[in-house]
Amino acid sequence: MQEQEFVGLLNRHQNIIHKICNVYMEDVAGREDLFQEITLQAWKAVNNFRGDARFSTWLYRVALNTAITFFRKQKRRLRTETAELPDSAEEHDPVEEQVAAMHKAIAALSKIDKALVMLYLEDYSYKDIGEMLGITANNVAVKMNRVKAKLKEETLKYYQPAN
Amino acid sequence: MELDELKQALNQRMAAVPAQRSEKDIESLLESDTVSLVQKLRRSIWLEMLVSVAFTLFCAAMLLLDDTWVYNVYFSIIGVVGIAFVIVLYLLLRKTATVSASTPVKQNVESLVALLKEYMRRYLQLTLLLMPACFVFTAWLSYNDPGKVPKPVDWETIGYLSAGLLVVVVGFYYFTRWYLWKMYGGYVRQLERIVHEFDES
Repeated sequence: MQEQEFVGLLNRHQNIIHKICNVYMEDVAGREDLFQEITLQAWKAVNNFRGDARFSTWLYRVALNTAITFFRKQKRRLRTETAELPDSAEEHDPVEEQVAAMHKAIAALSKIDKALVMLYLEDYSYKDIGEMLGITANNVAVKMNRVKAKLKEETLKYYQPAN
Repeated sequence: MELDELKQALNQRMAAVPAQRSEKDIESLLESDTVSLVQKLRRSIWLEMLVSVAFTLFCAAMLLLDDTWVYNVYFSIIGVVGIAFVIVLYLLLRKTATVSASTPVKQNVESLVALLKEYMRRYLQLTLLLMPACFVFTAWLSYNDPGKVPKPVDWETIGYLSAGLLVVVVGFYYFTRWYLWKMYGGYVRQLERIVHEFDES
């Protein structure tokens, strides 16, 4: 694949990378670093993209692989630099508050559980998720049930519905 | 509150960014260098290959410049060991190319763990093998130098030298293990934890 074609495809699917950076990194610098790393890894691996899968599926696999094996040197730096995503929860919209609470709960999950949630939210089947992660569909189902229960419990720490 | 109820809103929130990147931004990112674990390992291997090549060249130069029998034998054999180092390191370098981010995640993490462990094992083996081999070889050569009048074997001196060598080798073994663990041990531990999490059912 030529560089121009790759850049065009990546540009159209950059939301996938942004999503992964937002979920896996807490601060702006971390997201920038991870975005760059995913872009580079995708470019290095693009010759393995045979076109029999969708580019978005292939990109998810590359991006998740990169995010899961990405270790930053200065993990403790820049607590102050933490870039907050638009926090509509301040508007006291109950749905937004729930979403914000769920988002915080997802951020607290392990790297593998984060990957499962992201792919699940993208409506991939358990079989597809299993293929991307390298585990069986049954294992995905078991893990997903556990993650859902964990999220439900964890979300309550950040949001208590008014009765 | 269930994950499924908030699917769409969560998807939107996760993808939220201050600004999308242009094609030009993405193009410029392709010019930078990766900071992946594999790249770090490749840099280490390249550095060790360069040191081994420099060492072999030094041995070759000594071989050409000096015509003492002992030096000639010593630097010929140690030079060959240097070449063997380069070959082993090159094979390891080629193995790093087999790790690809487009394979399934679990397989990729397992390959990384295997690669890091092999590198650490080889590094330990090569460095630890060379040091006692050099000492023993040097002692044997000096004793058998045809230019010298043979002396009777002084077992006391040999005992002291062997004890000293043992202390140095043991110390060096622990130092190398500590160094390797500091460089890559943390990564191996974290990656193994990920593999373990994958295997949990």
